[in-house]
Amino acid sequence: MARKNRNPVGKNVDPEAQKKKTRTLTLKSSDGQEFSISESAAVLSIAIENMVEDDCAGGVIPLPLVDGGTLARVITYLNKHAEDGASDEEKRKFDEEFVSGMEMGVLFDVVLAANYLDIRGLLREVRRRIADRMKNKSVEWVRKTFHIESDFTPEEEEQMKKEFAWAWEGVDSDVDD
Amino acid sequence: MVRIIEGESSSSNRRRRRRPIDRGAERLSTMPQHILIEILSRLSTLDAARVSFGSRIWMTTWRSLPNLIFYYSQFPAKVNKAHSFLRFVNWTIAHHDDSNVKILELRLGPMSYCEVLINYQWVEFAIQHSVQKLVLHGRICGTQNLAYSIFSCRSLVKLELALHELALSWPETIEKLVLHGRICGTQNLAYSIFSCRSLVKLELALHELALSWPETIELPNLRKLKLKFLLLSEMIPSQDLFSKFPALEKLSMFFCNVTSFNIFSISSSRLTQFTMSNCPGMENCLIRLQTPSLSKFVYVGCVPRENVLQVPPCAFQLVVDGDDSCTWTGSQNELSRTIVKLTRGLFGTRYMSAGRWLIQYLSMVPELPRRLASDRFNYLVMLTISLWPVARHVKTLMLLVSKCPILSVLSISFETPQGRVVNRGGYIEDYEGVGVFGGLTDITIKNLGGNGTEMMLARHLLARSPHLHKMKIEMNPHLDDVDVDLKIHQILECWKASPDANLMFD
Repeated sequence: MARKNRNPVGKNVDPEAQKKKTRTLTLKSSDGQEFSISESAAVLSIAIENMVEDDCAGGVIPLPLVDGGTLARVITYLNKHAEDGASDEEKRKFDEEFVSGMEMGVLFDVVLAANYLDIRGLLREVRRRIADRMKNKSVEWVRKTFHIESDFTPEEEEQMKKEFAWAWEGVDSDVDD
Repeated sequence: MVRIIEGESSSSNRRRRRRPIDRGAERLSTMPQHILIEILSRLSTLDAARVSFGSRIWMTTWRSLPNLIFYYSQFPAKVNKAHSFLRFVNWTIAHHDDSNVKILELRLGPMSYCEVLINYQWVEFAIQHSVQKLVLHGRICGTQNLAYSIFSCRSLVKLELALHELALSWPETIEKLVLHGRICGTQNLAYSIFSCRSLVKLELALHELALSWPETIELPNLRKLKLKFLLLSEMIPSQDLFSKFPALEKLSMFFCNVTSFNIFSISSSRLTQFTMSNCPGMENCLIRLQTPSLSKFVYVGCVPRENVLQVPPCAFQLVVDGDDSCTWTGSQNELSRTIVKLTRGLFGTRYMSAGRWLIQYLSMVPELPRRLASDRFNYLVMLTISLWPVARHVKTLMLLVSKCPILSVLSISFETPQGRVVNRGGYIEDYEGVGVFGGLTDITIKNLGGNGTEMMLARHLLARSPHLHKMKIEMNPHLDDVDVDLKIHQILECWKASPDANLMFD
């Protein structure tokens, strides 16, 4: 494919942009699922845009670090943000709802994918959501939610509990919201 | 698309159920460090600590956290608070790795409750880690070298100091400078501030400091100037003070003594906002404005009779003349924004007195509790205020009082609005954002007429002030004896958070 014109003259009737809308790409997830997506939505990911420009987009773009479920979510996000006539307010609302139902594990999958695909807006949104969930939670909550066991020695653990007792007290209930 | 999401999400659940522990640890360890840091940086340093105590991976992240923000008043430890806080800050700093610290913020206040001193070594640590923003509130020990090391710190762009008894001068690259408190060694102060070419924002809230404008002022970039508690003196009669700041856009003056001025003249082509509030001497000096770009004018005080307030007609204006006369022109939104800002300025002092306009306008601000959610007025000790006995105004007052942790003397005066029937019901159910009035020891309520709202205020003040010594109530003279007896009886029956509080009626 020829390199894209970086400075289109007429903004409103950019033929390149029109072509992108109609052209579709196929993305392939790590578990072999294939998704078609319009090029205008796909290039919101800087990583995909680079691949398209470097002409590795002959047919299918393989994304070996993203599984199918996560890729499906990411594509939903990209489609919304590439939608014609969606106002900033609508997009903001969509972002809010998009992340609100996700459990922590899914948020982490999405944040990894957004980082890999270089989608700034999504990365920011998911990071913010993860941080919001962590506010005023106990150490135990963190371990339960991230499915991690303490890898401190019992002595270290005891020492920390003694030194920073407040980190174990006065926090929100362990129920995930 | 939908079908695929459903199909996959159940299979991913299955996978997660199979090896939950491995998967969690594995996921965390594959996560790029910069993402973990960005997540932790969005949390308060306290919340970030709780997460980091969970595992070594998080702890590693913790060691390179760029924002270190410590608020003593938000620290949760109940026993040995000062000791625990000190340990926490020391521990955090001792465990930090070589990466840069962008922000160090230490707010150890309110002054009268916090026994912890800012350790000079914490500041030194931040400077060695190329700190860009430094905020220090409280008392500090080992200040000999402080000024020298802060002001030779090349990375610093924002500095906010509210320190007691400190002698200093500043660096040449600074853009924002905020100084609160008392300062000693002021001989060269004015000179060194006013020759700091990089400054964009300057806020001086310094008590008993006579600020004289030096002859050479070199502040070509200064856009925002806020002066509080200063004693301003006139260099040459009627000379324009502010013409020397060519880029100045916002100017505000609170509680600045201007008694030595006959004419206070401001001419500046770029000035868009001007606020002058509660400045002793302002009622006797003529204010002369030559500010064609002015879009916002706020004046709180007594307006002298012959004033030349040439405010452009389309500008937003709020003029408070004395306690009761208050006029404004402009949009409702602008009024809300202005009044909230003005309140922040006015409540940043120790003794404050306001007519009923303040509460009246504040009560008109939509979503006031949310707007004031992060405000704490840590200096206010004494408040005298008038208001109408209506539910909305009482609610606003309670919200304000609960934001003043060391407020101890409160005097409330009810005014009956002329030509208006006061709603006698007016029970207040929802007290969004109102907490305990921990500092209140002395309350006076004047002109209590005994309607539902007024009684509710008395009841809430008694129930929420655990350290109250005395509440003095002066009844409205128009009440008849039977009514007075009834109201006194009702108030005496209220539950008191401080059982020893004395109630007096007049």
